[in-house]
Amino acid sequence: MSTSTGFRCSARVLLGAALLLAVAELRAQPGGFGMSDAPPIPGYEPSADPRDFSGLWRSKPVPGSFLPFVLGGDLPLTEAAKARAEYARQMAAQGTQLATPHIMCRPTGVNQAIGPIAPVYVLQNAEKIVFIVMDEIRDIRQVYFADEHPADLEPSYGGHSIARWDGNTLLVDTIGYNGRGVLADAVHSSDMHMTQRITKSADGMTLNIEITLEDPAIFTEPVTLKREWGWVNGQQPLEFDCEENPREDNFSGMIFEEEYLRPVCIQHEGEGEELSKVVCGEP
Amino acid sequence: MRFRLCLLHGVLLACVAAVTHGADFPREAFNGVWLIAEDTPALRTLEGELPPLLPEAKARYEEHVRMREAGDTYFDRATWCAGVGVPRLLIANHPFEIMVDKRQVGFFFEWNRWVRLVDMSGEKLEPYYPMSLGTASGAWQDDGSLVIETAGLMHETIMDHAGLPHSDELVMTETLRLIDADTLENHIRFDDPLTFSAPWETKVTYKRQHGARLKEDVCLDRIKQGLPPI
Repeated sequence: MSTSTGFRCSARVLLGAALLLAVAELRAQPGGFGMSDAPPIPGYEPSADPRDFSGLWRSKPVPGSFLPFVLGGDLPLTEAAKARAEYARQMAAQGTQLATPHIMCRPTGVNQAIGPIAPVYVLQNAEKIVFIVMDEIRDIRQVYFADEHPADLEPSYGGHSIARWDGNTLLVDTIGYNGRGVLADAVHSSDMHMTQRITKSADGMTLNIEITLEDPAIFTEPVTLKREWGWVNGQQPLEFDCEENPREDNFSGMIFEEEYLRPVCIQHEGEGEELSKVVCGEP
Repeated sequence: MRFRLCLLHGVLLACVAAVTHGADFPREAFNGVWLIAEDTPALRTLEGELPPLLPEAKARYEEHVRMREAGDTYFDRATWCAGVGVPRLLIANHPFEIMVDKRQVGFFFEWNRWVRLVDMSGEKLEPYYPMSLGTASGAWQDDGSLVIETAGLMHETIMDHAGLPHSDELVMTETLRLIDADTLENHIRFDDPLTFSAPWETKVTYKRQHGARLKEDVCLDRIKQGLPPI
C-alpha cells in the first residue's frame, strides 16, 4: 500500500488525534499540513500578471489559530445549527465520531474551498481556473469564466462555480450544492451561496481571499471570512486515496445519521491475507 | 489553424497532409474532454496479442480472469472505489479532460474525480513513493506530440479491467498526438521486467466530446445505489 492512503489514520476519525497530529506537524514542518516533505520541482515562479493565479499556493493558518481550516468563532448560527454543532461536540467528547462526508471520503465542498489543508495547484486558461488539491482530501474545483450558472444545474457536493474579473479581482460565485456539506459541525443546505473575491498581492506572493457564505439554514446572516494563500515553490504532487483502506476499525462506534454514508465495503481485520481482504455487502 | 485554412480553400489533398501532423495544432488543441473511441476491457499489443507476461504474472492474470468470470472482483480495488490509476483510467469508458498549462498538463478523470498532473518543468522527476497515478514527467516534441514518462506506479493496481498485473517497476511512456482536431492518439510503451519478458506497446484513440463538461462522480455514492464501481 502506498504511504499516502485514505482512511489511513485515526486523524480523520478522531478530532483529538487530528489536532495532536496537526500540532506535531506544524512544529516539525513550518510550512504546515500536507506534502510537507514532497520533493521540490524547479521552475516555479509567481507570475507578474495580477490576473494569472496559476501555480501552487498554500492556505495560511487562520488568524488566531494555528490551523488553516477552522471557520472561526462567534459564527451567527441558527438555533438548529447550534444544536447540531453542540451534539457533534458532545459526541466527540465521548470519543464517538459522527460520520460526515469528509470522513467518509466524499467531496468536502465549501470546507475545501475555504481552508484546504494541503497546497493547491491552480491551472488557468481563458475558459476557466481550476483549483486542485492532491494530498489530504483529493479535490478538484473547476471555476468557469461565465456570467451565469446553467439553468439545469445538477446538485453536487462541490457546487457549480463561475467567475468574472472586477479589475484585477476575481469574483467567484458558487451555488448548486447538494445539501450534504458539513460546515462548523452543521449540515448546510442546498441553498448555500458562496462568493469569493480573490486578489493577488502586488509582489505576487499572496492571494488575498474574502469569502462570503449565505445559507439561512445554518447562518442567521451572511458570514464573511478572510483568508490568505501564500505562494509555494514547486512540489511534486502526492496523491491521497481516501477510499483505499476502508478498515473495520475506522467505522467501529461511528454514528451514521445518514444512511448514504454507511459503507458498502469494509476491510475486515484479522490474521492472514484472506481474513483481511475487503468485503462488500448489500448497498 | 492550418486545418481551418485548408477547409476554407478547399484544397483537400493539402488538408489531408496537414492534419496528419500534430505540429499543425497548437498545444492548446489538446484541451478538452475526451472519451476512448473503442471499448478496451483488456490491453493488447499492437499486434493484438496478449502482452508478453512472465509465467508468474501470467498465472496471476489468468486467476484474475477466472475470478471476474466467477463474480469475485476482490482482486480489483475499483470494487471498493480505491484509485485504479494509470493506464487503466486512460482506457476506461469514462471521459477525461486535458488542460494544458505552462507548468503542468492536467488530466482530469471523471471517474471518482482523480487528477493527474504531468510535470512540464523539463526535469525527469524521481518517484517519491509508488502511487496509483505514479509520477509523470512530460515534454512537448517538435512534431507537436506530447511525450509523458510515468514511473512509480504502485503494483496494487491492475492495468486493465481484465486484471493485467504489473509491478512497482513499471514505466509507462505515452506519446500523445492529435490525428485531427477531434481525435487524439495515445501510443503507449510499457517496460516492466518483473512482469513482462520484453517491453511492449499498444495504441488507443480518444474522440473529443464537444460541449461536454465533467460531472462530479462519487464512486462510493454510486456503489451505494447498487451501480457498478467502474
